[in-house]
Order: sequence, then structure tokens, then C-alpha cells
Amino acid sequence: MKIRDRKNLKLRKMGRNYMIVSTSSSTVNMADVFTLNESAAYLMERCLEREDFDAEMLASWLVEGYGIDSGLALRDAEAAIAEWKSLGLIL
Amino acid sequence: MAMEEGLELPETVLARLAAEVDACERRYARMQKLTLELLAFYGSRGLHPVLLKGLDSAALYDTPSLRESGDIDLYFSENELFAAIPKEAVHNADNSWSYVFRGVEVELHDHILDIERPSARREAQRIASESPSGSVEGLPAEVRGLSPRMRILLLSSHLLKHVLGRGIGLRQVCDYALARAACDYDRRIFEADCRALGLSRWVAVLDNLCVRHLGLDGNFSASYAERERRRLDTLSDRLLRRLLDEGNFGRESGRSKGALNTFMAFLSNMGFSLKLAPGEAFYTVLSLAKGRLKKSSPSVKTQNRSL
Repeated sequence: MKIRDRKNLKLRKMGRNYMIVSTSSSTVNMADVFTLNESAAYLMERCLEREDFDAEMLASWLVEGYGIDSGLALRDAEAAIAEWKSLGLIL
Repeated sequence: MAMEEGLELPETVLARLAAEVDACERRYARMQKLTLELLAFYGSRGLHPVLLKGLDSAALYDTPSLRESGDIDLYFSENELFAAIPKEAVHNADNSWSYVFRGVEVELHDHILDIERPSARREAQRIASESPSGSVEGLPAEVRGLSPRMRILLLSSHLLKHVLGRGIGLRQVCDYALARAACDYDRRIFEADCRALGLSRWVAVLDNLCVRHLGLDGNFSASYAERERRRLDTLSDRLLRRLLDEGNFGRESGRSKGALNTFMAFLSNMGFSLKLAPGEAFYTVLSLAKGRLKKSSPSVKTQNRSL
């Protein structure tokens, strides 16, 4: 799987928040802004650098970055992917 | 850099800010693409335009993509301008030519500095001939821009033109402030150039505004006797009020345009303008009046050429 319109998305730190702006080509002057927590932003930043990814990859990043149990990391990664899919961020 | 605890903006405001920043960056990317396409087009026809303002000014900023440009301004030498003007271009009162390229307004100029006073114009031509063009930094292709010396003179004279008329904007003042604070031009030569062009008093007021109201480091500007400094403070305070009322982010930025409104704006600002640059104020209004008389005369200048 991959991030929709990856090359046009930019993860921004706004104050203490992390945000991504996604514009729709079908509607002029309209944009969706997604707010991410720190761990989601950590994952998103890595996803934006790659052509594609999967849940196992995200889980390994969580283990590497947060030192959590791999089973927990995989569940968190799958939850993140499910949410991003529901928001239309993933193809 | 971060806001203090308890002073952070609400998430809804930050979201809107993020969307605005994103849109700004997209507009810049499009403007950059169009500018490079246009320059490549002229280059393919053996023409050598110099980019004025716009992306050249944006390059002064730490994040050029957040400095918006509304149009593309190009300078052509006298022997190239004729070949650069497309048949659909409109001839403006200030002798520039305008046309639309892929939805963006393009202005072609036969001069770099916005100077109307005849003796100062000759000085402007001398200065331009002494200052070879530079290149615009940070672009993916080589683009001819202004030398640092010409850039700061253009920004200050262009600002004056807007102050004499209407629509002085914070963005233009910030462009000038950044160019002024840069160390890439000789300040003594700049002061001599300002004297030659009749801009010394104007630049003193502008510097005063930048230091007192924009927080610019005042080390670069000259020091004045107390009485003169108070006079400059008064003039820059008045300039600040104009800035807050007009231009890009002003309270009255939606005022109607049109040649007659512009001319009336110049006349109504005359009192203030004469305190800033009397010679330039007088000749600017005269030039505008001549331009209006030419436009209202029965003979029509037609453009019937193609690239």
C-alpha cells in the first residue's frame, strides 16, 4: 500500500501538533487537514519517504523508535493503517 | 521556537494556518514553473529578459515558497522589447506592456527603476549600465535577475511609487527590509545612488519604519540629529498608518482600481508625497496626467505584431 498523492503531501509541525494538508483536485480552494499525534507523525514521515509499505514495516519502526513489544507494535500499526484508509490517505 | 504553555493557538486555527501555508507553497511552485517556462520561451527566441521582483524578491527570504507573487515582471533592453511583446499585449500608462500567460499576468518593462524625474532618470540609466545583472538564487534553472545594487534601488523606488499612489503593502516593505539588511551591496554606493535619484529622504523614512515598526536592526541606517529624527518618526508613523490601511493585508485592500481612481489617489496623496520625494511626486503626477490625456485622445496605438 502507499500514501495517496504522496509527492504532494507534506508533514508539518504546527506548534505542538503535526498536520498534513490534502487538497482535492476536484474542488478548488478546498483542503482536508489531518492532525496526527507524535507517534502517527513518526510513522507518516517514514511512509512519505517510501513508494510503498505494510503493517510489518510500520511495526518495526515503532519497535525501533519507541522500544515497545513487537506484538503491541503490530496492533498499533494495523490500527493506524485502518484509520488512514478510512480517511482516504492510503491507496 | 514555540509559544509559551497556555498561549498555543487552538487546533482549528492551526489547521487553517496549515492549509493556508500549503496553498501558498503550491502557488509558489506553480509561479516558479510558469516563470521558468516563460523565460525558456523567450530564451529560445534569442531574447534575454531580466526577472524583476516576484521570485527575485522571494529569494531574499529563508523560505521563498512562502512569499507570494501575483504576477511576472520582466525587463527587456531597448533593442529586445519590441520582439518580446505578443500581439494581445496591452500598453500601459507607465509604458509597460501586459498580457496573460497561462492565467498569470505578465508585465514587460523597458526600464528597471520606477523613476519619473527627468534628471534622475538619466542617473538611473547610468546606474543600470554600471550594474550588470545578477542571477536569482535557489531556482532549478539559471535565471537572470538584478544585481544587489539594482535590486535594492528597485525595491525602494517601487515602494515609493506605491506610496505616491496607493496600495503600499507589508509584503513590499518586507522585501525592502530584507534587501536592506543583506550585506551584498555597498552601502556607501547605495547612499550616493539615493542622492543621485532624489530618494534620500524617502529611504530615510523607509529605514525608520523598518527599524521602529518591523524590528529591523538599525545598524545599517544613518544616524540623524534629534530634530530630523523626530521628523522621520512622524513621517514613518504616517506611513505605517497607510500600510495598515492599504495594500496586501490592509483594512481597505479591496478598493476599486481603474486609471481615474489611480490618478485621483496620486493627487490626494500629494501633501504627504511632497514631504517624501518632492521631485518624484511632481513628475509622477505629471506623467500620469500625460498618460491619461494620451489615452483619451482619438488616435489609438495599436499593436499588430507576433512573436
